[in-house]
Amino acid sequence: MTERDSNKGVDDSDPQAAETDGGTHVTSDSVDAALDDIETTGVAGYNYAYLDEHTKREVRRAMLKAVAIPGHQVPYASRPMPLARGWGTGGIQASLSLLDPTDTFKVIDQGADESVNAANIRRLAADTADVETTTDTTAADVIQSRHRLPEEVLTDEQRLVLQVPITDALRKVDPSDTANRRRHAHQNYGKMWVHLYENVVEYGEINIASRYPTMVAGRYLMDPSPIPRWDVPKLDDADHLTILAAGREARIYAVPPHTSVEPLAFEDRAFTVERFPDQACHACGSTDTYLVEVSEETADEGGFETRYACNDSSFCAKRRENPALSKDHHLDQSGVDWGPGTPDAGDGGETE
Amino acid sequence: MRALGIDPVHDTRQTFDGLLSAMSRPGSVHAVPAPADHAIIATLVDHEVTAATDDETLRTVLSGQGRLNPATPADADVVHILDHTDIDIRDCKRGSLVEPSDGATVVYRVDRVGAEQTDTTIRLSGPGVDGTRSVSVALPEAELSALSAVQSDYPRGVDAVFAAADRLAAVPRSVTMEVV
Amino acid sequence: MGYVAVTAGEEVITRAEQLFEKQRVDGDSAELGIDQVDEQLGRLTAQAMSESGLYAPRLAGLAVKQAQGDTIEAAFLLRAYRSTLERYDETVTVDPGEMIASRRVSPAFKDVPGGQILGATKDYTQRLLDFALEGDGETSDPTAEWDVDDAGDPDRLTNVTELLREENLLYEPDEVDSEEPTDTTRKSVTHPPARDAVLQELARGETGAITALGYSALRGYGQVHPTLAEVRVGRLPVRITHPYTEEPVTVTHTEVTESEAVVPVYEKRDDPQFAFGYGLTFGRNERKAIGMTVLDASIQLDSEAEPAENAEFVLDTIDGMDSFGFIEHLKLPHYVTFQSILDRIRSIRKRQGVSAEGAADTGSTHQPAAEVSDDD
Repeated sequence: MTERDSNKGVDDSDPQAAETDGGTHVTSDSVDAALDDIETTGVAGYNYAYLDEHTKREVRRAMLKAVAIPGHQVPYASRPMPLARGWGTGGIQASLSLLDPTDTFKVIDQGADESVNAANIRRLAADTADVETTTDTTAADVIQSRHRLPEEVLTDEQRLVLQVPITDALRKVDPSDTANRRRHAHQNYGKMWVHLYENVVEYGEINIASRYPTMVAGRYLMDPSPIPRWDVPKLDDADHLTILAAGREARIYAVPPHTSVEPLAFEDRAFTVERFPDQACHACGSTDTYLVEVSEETADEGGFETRYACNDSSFCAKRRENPALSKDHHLDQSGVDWGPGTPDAGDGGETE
Repeated sequence: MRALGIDPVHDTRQTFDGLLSAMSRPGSVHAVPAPADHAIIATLVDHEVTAATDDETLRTVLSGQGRLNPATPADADVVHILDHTDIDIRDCKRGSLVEPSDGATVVYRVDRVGAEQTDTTIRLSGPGVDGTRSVSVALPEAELSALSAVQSDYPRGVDAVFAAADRLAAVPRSVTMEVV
Repeated sequence: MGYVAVTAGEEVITRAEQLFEKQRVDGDSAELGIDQVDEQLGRLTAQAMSESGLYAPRLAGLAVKQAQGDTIEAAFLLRAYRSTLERYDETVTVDPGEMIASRRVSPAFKDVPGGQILGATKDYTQRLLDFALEGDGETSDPTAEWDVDDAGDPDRLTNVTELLREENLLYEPDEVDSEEPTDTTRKSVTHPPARDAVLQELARGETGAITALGYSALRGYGQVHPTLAEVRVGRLPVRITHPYTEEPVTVTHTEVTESEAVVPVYEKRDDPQFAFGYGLTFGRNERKAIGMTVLDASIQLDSEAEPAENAEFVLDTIDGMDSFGFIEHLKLPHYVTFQSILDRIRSIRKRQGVSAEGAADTGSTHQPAAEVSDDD
């Protein structure tokens, strides 16, 4: 890893360079020179953490407003990134605006560190922000995740960045952002409640799997991103800060620590999490983690069997070493269990 | 920004880290490069936002880089307050119901924050605070009460930062502030 | 070619990238030069430039070569590159009347000041495959034998819409701030959008999307069926204020396609005037410029009756990076969310007494819809 200077590739004696504050300086007196520059200097030609300072300011301003107004979607001028829209460009802009060379960065995609997309994002950050990367949740300062919260409890020293595809819970009831913004302005969520009620009438329960609508700090209806219901209670009164960032839809929102996050439900239809009745992870034996099913062919002709495995692969690896490891093993206090299905869990425990 | 003694990449990142921690845990005090108010303005301000400041050094450096889009305190997105008697916080932008984030970020330069017990103490509760948290700020009660009033029409309001020498604390509009 | 079993995520990405690159170099043909792409596949590079919002013909040639001809992938490369470039300055506003036009047609009138200049077009020719192009040999320039006087490029062509303006037949929209135009790459669009924001989004929009939505209006899903006042292809000067002399100075030219349309949908009842649609895009791309005029005029009608007239619908769907990214992201793993969806459907089936063998007779008259209300 080469030493990073604040304006790598810029000659300080160049008057133009002195005026740029961390912009990317690409010599372009001719197209050939520009093409050569990219080839030879490669990533080293970019500013610290890839983004230019102008972009970072925009993202940072939006993040601060998002934290000041929990659950409100703050618009920002999202930049094109080397990843396609829909692949975490908001998350990566948020992470790159946060990271510092002393930080350790973890990236997961649907719970897996080894996912190809997570590896790609990790590579971009490692190359341009000079950070250490890890798969250990308890060792990370910043965690960027697509659609999951880790099983291990996050602390007040950690920041979580969630990738968001669709920023508004109200999109389920109205495709128009203009109309929905008015609803948020006046805390007019009647249409969502009617939708939930109709669900119960039709199916006997609220037919929402992930992207479960929640009320933040009693004021804003928020889409927690496509995390499973299993993870929603972890956002409530958490010790850590959660930033939710969308690149394509160009919105950032946030849940500060110690903020109430309540999933919408009816008195006689409580919020419930996913169930894995009589199942355990086939690798580590856990019955208190979010599992995913995997079907494999058996020896019989055309036969297959379904097995369950922990979705949080790094925690599963730890549990394989020590099946009794608690989700807060790394913290001083004990009995702080996180997430449903665990002995001391509060809301969201299995009720059926 | 080097003219201000502020590194445009690393000092602004450190300042942002302080701001983010301060806003997510209102009332907590965080170390940032000094002078804190300059570092904060350098971190937040460019020509995409309007800024109000009487600080000549800041104005010169920012406009030299084409980063100053000046406005009055009533119209600015970022309001730098050197002396609270110069500006009436009630005039600052509070945003609209549809876009409350248009409300201003107000940066007070103060002598002390989180230090002297003789300074005004404010007690905060709400998002970011586990229970309550108190912090002292070298501003008169009247000013902090005025700020509290401006923040009382949630989600509209301003978000305040108190910058003293090499540290800062923040009170976003989401918390309830009691002047003790 | 079978699977290569590779375990580490990053190694997998690198190998996948190499397989993609292999597709490009695997044949026996000679390596494609960027000059060849730039010179001989000009419409492709024009589309990449127009959809990326970056005018750089050689870089567009490189992007098209790297993307193996995929226009959105090429535009994506260019946009990502653009976002790393320092923005030194902004150009002085230029009057499209200054265009050095190589082509100018006006369907609205039989003849116009300056004349109808057909320029380079295949519009009137039969679409027959030309097998003479199959050979590798040099094809010759058919205009080399021309025996005509070169009158040179026209200095200035009177814009046909000026004629309509003189008669006060064109509805003039509100003044736009030309000192501080909206820039949607720096400030995201809010609705209702300013007209310059709409035009900017359309100018960078995906050609297919603009063509399809513009067509929808013509097809009947809309009121706008315009008459084109002008279609021009030519070069526009790029001008900045000289940092020392403070005089405007032309630094280069870009090739653009411009289209203007008049729509007989009267803006005001008591003083009927034509509505007006505008389109401009980088490079030679007539269907996109014309599509833009249809959409610009449709959006100005401020009705939400049809998709083409709904600003939010149009702006949400025409950006190529956004649409391609989100559509292709469906390929990413979704098993966590799918597990959650499976949980739901099983729970509902269980509640309704439906087993894996099919509906049990519960005596219920209820017909559940096969609806899953989840996105992503």
